[in-house]
This record gives sequence, structure tokens and C-alpha cells, in this order.
Amino acid sequence: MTANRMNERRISNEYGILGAVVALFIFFSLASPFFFDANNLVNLGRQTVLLGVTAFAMTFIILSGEIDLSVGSVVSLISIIVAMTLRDTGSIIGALAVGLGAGALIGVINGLVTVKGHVPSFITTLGIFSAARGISLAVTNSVAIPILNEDYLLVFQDARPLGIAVSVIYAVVLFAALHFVLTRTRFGTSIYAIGGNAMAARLSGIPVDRIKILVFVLAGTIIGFAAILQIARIGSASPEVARNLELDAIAAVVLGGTSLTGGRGSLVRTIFGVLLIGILNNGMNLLNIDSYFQFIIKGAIIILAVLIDRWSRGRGA
Amino acid sequence: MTTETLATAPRRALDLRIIGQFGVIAAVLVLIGLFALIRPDFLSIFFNPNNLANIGRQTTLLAIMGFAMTLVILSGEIDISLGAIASMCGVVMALIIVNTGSWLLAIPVGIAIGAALGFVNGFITVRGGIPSFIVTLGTLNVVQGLALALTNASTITLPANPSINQFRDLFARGVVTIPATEIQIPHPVIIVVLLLIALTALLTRTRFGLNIYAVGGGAASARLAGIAVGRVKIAVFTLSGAVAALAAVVYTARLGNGQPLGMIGYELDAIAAVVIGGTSFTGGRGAVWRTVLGALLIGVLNNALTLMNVNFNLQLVVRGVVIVVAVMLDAWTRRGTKN
Repeated sequence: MTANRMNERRISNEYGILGAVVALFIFFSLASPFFFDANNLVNLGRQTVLLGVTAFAMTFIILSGEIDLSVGSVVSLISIIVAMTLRDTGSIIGALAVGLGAGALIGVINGLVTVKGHVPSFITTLGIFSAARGISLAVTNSVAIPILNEDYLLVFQDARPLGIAVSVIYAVVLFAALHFVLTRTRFGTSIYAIGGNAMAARLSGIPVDRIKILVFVLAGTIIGFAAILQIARIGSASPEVARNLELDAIAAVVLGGTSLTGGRGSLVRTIFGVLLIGILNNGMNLLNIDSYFQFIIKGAIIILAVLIDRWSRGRGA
Repeated sequence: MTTETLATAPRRALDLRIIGQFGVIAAVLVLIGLFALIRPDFLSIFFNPNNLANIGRQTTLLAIMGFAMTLVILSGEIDISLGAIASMCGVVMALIIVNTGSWLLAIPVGIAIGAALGFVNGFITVRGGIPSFIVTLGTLNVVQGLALALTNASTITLPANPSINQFRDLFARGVVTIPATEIQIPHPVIIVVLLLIALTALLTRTRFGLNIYAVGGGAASARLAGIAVGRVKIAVFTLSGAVAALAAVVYTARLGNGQPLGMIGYELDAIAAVVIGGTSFTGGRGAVWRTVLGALLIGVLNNALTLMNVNFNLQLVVRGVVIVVAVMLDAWTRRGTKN
């Protein structure tokens, strides 16, 4: 099989998931009069941003051959910290700094324990998942903290420059920056090398440990930003926010076609996966599909999409 | 330690591993000692037969779910749908009991459904060539949705009659009193012990059991050694689903109802119990008795913290830290054995 044929195959794969996104979009536009509507599309964008930003972070982690189960409870913990900072200081800059800093710090912990402590990241982040949830509940006493700062809400949620939801613009800018890092910097290419084969990467002189820790720190910081956007959208912070977000993010990354074992995939693919889940959730709600059947449909689509992806790759090889 | 020697080569590695194991137990003992210092009557409350029976009761569900998870992890896979599967089995059993009044019918049907769902997980994982994490992430959603649809998201309450009481006593509420003592052993503890013996025999005395270790230790070399890797894995998922259904029997009997989401979340606690016990997360090394130890550590910790009036939220924090520290200790002692 020549490299050219492999490329064609890869492109057709990416079109495969893109095709599914477009088909779903057209289906819901025809099935519901409310779907293809400016307000709903803005809404769809806003709903999808949290998943998108989180899935960007998850893409980095998965590409490097690791996993992060702590995402959901970390988002809720950071949103609480940010909300408290905002309430007590009124400073948007302060809240932003605290949110990003807390995310980076949790990333440092995840990275150090995983890499230096030789603990599988699945277990490290399972521990952090439990600990962060506990801290959130303890700090808030299970009571939600409202976001009353109107400037904050304007900057991270309500503004609509050129008619586009401001949070979507943040997500797009973040995507561009992260895509650049992943494809055009040595750090980015090292991530692929490590995820593909950590031993070979180490032998070729890549500082595997340092890069892995950096990936966790970067991902943590991105997740901090997700928390900042999330509380602006909901208007409050609580320990119940973002439950199971990690599973949706992993599903989005894998649906896009990024390999769960690392080393193969891209942020572009993740965008397709995020759009698929986002459109699916929004459309099923508009069609008033029972939440029970939403679970069933979502689960079936996750398995089917990965099966089809695997099948088409298998034929290409 | 027989299972380990079967699964791994160096015998001298055992001493250090035992120390690693003691590390976790020692940590809990130190904690209990600390509590005794802070609160003088702590020991008498903690070691009160009633409290010990309580710990036993609280730990059984986790232990049984942990057994199911141990099998899958030993084979080198993971199943995050086990909580959903158990909930589904519980709901179906509750529905059968409510509609026919027969728990003797409900139990085999529930176990068959658990096995069938496990089989589906195994089949898609093996034949589809998809990581089991993704497969079971998918089936977790599907099974959860089915359980909600089946019950219309409501709790199915068992009626109170002599037959149902018999069921609930047999699998949850009953105790066996050891003659000439005041020590009472709850029935679920006996179920765990029987299951422990059966699964240990299966893992260490049958070819299927040894194949599980071989497959988890290295699928490629197991295949070269002539083991039907795919078939072993599918069988493991099936068995694991059936064991999760057993946990659902105890759960349904204890609560007297079936809840569509009742056992969701147990999968993560079960993973914690397995790895705290010292079974390798990557497969091929470990044992079911270790999982009992892991479940007991979590149970004792929760119980002790509750006795100390530490609220549930902080218990979550402690549990998270213990999971990570236990695995770190384990990794550390294993690395020590390499030199």
C-alpha cells in the first residue's frame, strides 16, 4: 500500500465523520422547525463550547497516550473557586488568573503523580476525580454560588460581536492556537512521538517525562478556562456542574477518530466529534426525545462510529 | 500468594510486594491509632461487634462488584458499564418479583441478563477490535437508557410478604451467629467468602483461570502459546457481568427495591478496590483476595471517618488520596524488586 493511498484513505475517513455531522445537521433541520434558527444555532454554539474546550484538553492527553477521568469534577471545583474569587474581589482578571492557575496546578499534580509516581493516569485521575468532588461539596456545602458580576457575564457569555456568541469566538481562537502548537512546534510533534511509542521517543532523545507533565499542565489550564466559560453560561457554580463531562469529552475525541491508545489523531478530528455530540444533544432535545432514548442513541452511536472507523482503517491497511 | 507465582516469574520479588501490601494496611492502622488518640473511646466503638458487622455489610457490595472488575482487569481489559449492568439486573429482578412474586425465578433471569450484557461487551470489544473502555462507555449509556425506559425512571418497590422477607433475609438482612459467642456474621459476608473461594479456585486451579492471567500478561505471547485470546476475553466479560448481577441480588434484597441508576458509580469504586488491593491495572497480575482487602480498606476507612464525624465530602477526598498513594506505593515496591 503506497503512502498516497494511505493518505486518500485518511482523508475519506475524515470526510466520513464530517459526512455524519452534515447528515445529522440536515436531518434535524428538516425534522424540527426550531433547529435551523439563528437563536438555536447561537444556543447550540454556546452549549457545545464547554464540551469543545474540554475535548481539546482531552485530545492532548489522549494523543500523549494518557487519559484524564478527573475533568468533570475538576471543572466543577475550579468553577467554584472562580465564583468565590469573583464574589469576594469583584476582579475579573483575578478570577481569570485564579481559574487558569488552579487548572495548571491540578495538571501539575496529575502529571507528577502519573509520571514520577509511576501510577497509571487512569488511577491518578480517578483519585483526583474523587478528591476534587469532595472538596467542591465541602467548600460549598452543596449550595450553588450565583455569578452576579455583570461585566463577567458580558465578557464570557452575553457579548455577541458580529452576531456570534463570544464564547464560540474564544473556542475558535483557542482551537487555532492549540492546533498550531500541536502541528507546528517541537512540543506538539513530541506529543505524537510519545503517544505512538514512548520507548522509541525516549531513545530518540525526547524528554518524555517532561513533555507528559507539560501536557497535563496545558490540559489543566485549558480545563480551567472551560470552567470560566461554564459558570458564565449557567450563571452559577455548584458541585453538580459538569458531571460526567469527562466521558462526553473522551467520546468526542474518539468519535473524531483519534486513537485512544495515543499517537494518532488531531484537534480537527475532535471538532467533528464535538459537533456530532453537540448537534445530537441539541437536536434530540428539540425533537423532545425521551432522555432515556437519548442515552441509548448516544451509546449506540459511540460504538457504531468507532466500529465503522476501525473497519474502514482496517481495509485501508 | 499462589496466584502471583503462577502469573509472574521471580519468587524473590514476593517479599517486597508483601511489604508494599503491608504499607497500605499499615497506613490504615496508623490512621485508626491516630483516631484512638484523638478520641479515647474510638477503639471500643470501632471494634464493637455491631460496628464490625456493619463494616462487613457495607463492604460486601463493593467486594462483589470488585470481583467482577478484578476478572476484567486481570484479562487486560476494563468495564466501566458494570454499574449500569448491575442496576439493570436489579431492576429486572425487582420487576419479575413484583409481577410474578417469585424471587426464585428472578435471580436466574437477572444473572442471565448480566451475563448476556457482559457477553455483548466482550463480543464487541474482541470482534470489533475496539478498546473496551470505549465499548463499555457506549454500552453504559445504552444499558442506563434501557433501565430508565423499562422503569419509566421510577423505583420498583418490592411488596412486603413472607416470601419477599425470606428473600431479603437470605441475601441481605440475615445473620449467622457463631455458637457460644456473640459474634454475628451477616449473610452477605458469607456470600462474599463463598464467591471468593469459587473465583480463587477458578483462577488458580482451572485452565480457563490460568489463561486469563496469560492473556492479561501479554495477549500476543498468549496467542503464540495457543490460547484462544478472543474467546477467553469474551468469557471473562460474560462471567464478570454475571458476578455484577449477583451484586445486584444483594443490593435488591438489602434495599427492598430496584433503582434504574442505583448501582451506577460502583464501577469506579470497584476499580479503586481492585488497584488498592494491588492487582495490576494493566492486567496479568493480581488476585481476587486482594480485592477483598482493597474493599475492606475502603470500608474501614469510610466507617472510621464516619465514627470520627468526618463528613462524607471529606471522605471522598481521603478516598481519592488513598487510591493514588496505594498505587504509588505498589509501583514503588515493584520497581524495587527489579534491582
